[in-house]
Amino acid sequence: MVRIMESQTWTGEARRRVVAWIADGHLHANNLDAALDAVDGRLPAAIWRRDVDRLLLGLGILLSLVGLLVFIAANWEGVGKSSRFILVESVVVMGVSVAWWRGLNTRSGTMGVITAAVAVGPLFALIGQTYQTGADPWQLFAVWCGLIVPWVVIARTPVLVILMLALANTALALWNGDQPRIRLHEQSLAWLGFLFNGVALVVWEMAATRVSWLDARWACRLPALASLVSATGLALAVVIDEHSSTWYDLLPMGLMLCTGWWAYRIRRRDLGLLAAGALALLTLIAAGVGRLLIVHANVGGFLITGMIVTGLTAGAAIWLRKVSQETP
Amino acid sequence: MNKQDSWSRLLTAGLVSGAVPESTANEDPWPLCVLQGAGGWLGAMFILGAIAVPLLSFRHNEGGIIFGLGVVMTAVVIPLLRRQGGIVLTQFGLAMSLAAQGAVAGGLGVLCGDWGSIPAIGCAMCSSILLLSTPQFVHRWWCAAIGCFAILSLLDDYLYVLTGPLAVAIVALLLTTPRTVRYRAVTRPVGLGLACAWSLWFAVCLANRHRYEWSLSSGALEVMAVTIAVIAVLRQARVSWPRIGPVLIVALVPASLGLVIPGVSIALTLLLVAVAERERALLVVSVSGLLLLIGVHYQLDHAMPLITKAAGLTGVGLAALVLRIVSPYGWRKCHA
Repeated sequence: MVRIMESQTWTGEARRRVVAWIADGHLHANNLDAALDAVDGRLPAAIWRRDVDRLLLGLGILLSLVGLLVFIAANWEGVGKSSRFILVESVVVMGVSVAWWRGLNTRSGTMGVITAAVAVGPLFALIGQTYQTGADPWQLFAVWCGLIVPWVVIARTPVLVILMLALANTALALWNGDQPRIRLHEQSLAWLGFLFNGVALVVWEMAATRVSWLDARWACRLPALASLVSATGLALAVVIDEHSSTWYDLLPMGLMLCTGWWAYRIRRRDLGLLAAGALALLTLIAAGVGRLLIVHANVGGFLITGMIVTGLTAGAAIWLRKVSQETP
Repeated sequence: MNKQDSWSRLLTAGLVSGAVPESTANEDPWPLCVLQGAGGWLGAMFILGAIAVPLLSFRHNEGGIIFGLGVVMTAVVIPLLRRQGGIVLTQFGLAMSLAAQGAVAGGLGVLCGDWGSIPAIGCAMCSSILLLSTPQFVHRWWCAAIGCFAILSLLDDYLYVLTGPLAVAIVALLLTTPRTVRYRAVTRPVGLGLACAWSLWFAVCLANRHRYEWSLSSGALEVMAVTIAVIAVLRQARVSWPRIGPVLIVALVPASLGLVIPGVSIALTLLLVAVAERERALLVVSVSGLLLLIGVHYQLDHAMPLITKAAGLTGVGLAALVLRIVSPYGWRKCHA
């Protein structure tokens, strides 16, 4: 177990180094196996087995569920009203039963809860279709999102939190599209995306310091990226077309960069998010410089903008390399 | 484990001697590679814009200038990237290289008034020269992908026949053996580039609603490719011939998907390499590719009844679950 925990961060760096030394002639090619053994250059078998096990479980459940959905779709017309409900509800019950049987601390149990949480949506869609409730699509997603909250809390897996956030984002986007009073749907959607995902990120980061299962970097990066993409979209709209935007559309970008710097450079080091922030800033500068210099598609404007972007990328890469070499 | 620790362990094992050498390998973490790659594309777009402006105004009479500009840029890029003079020059070289490949292809297209085979051949040649003459991994991978895509676009319908051999080529390029490890700095980016180019070509076909004609012979070639790949992987792991038989029979079950689904052997062989090399990234790429290909096939095949699709999907899903239950016995047997 200790070995598995140690190898969570196995990145294959040692293997890459050995291969490079052989390519450069510092190590004989026939010693490849011995060298890999000496530097722990192979992914430990226990970790690999665990990865393959997870993959097979995930794939098996995913494909079986999709197969079931296609089967239901194939026979939908011939299935009676009550049978339809039994079919969909049985998936929810089956998922919960597996979780109860295997326990929530096992992978099968977690997958059971995820299956049940996913099946809640089709169940609501079926209710809406059968009884013509007149509910808007955004309401379906909002209720779906709200109803799975208890499962998110008890299952304690970041996958369900991501599912919940994705549902909430979809509900917000659909709600935004339904509002006749909103004039610029794209801009309001970007604001909503920025605010919602930004708040989700802050709550997640704060909770991750106390709750160990929430401290999964891959999952935490998703709301951060969603918020950053929204902020970049708003800022790009100001740079490219100032007539339809106002200066305060730049605020989200500024806020993201400042808080991102504090959170992922000073407080903790997250190279992935720092690189994403740098890329967002680079895109914004490229758009700004391009708009200023490229007048009537002149060659010089294109060339200078290209050089500036290249230089800035190099600068960002130098800085990130320095950050990566710092001792954490 | 840092570079010094790795070297010390090799010294203790008596495999090397002397001080830690300067490595030419790319030791940058993945976010840095992504930033450099994306920034390089962004910069190259503007430089390409600078080339495209005169290209559009010259039209049919001055394509030679654009082609010449591409050749000159290629000649400048090679020493620039070979010098390994830091990130700034490398980044500029990456952007210039992309622009050069675009200029060569575009110039030839204008010069010959043909936007098919001639620009593709020109682009592939330019990419090959750049790939072989510069050491950066990202650059080699780009060049390989662009060059392979140009070649694949030339093959058009024949590509379906070549999918199987391409799969074998990818395995040969990606598997690390003592015999190939010295060339891995070239073979690995080329293998990945080939896989990327093939996927991109498939996506382009899909976007154009290209209807594919999948014959039994093409499918048989795919199955053969997977068979060869399995043997290669097992032989590399020093598994004796009598033991290869049962594994091959098991492997032929998923390989038979190639009889009905075009291109599935590429994803399957990538999966094999991932398993053999224990590489997580390749594992994710190959499984995603496999799911994408199966999904695309099911979406495009309107003639297939939904019930058959449901049976196929559920069957593969259940097979994965059964494999998961059986795998601990397999692992134990391997260990023994």
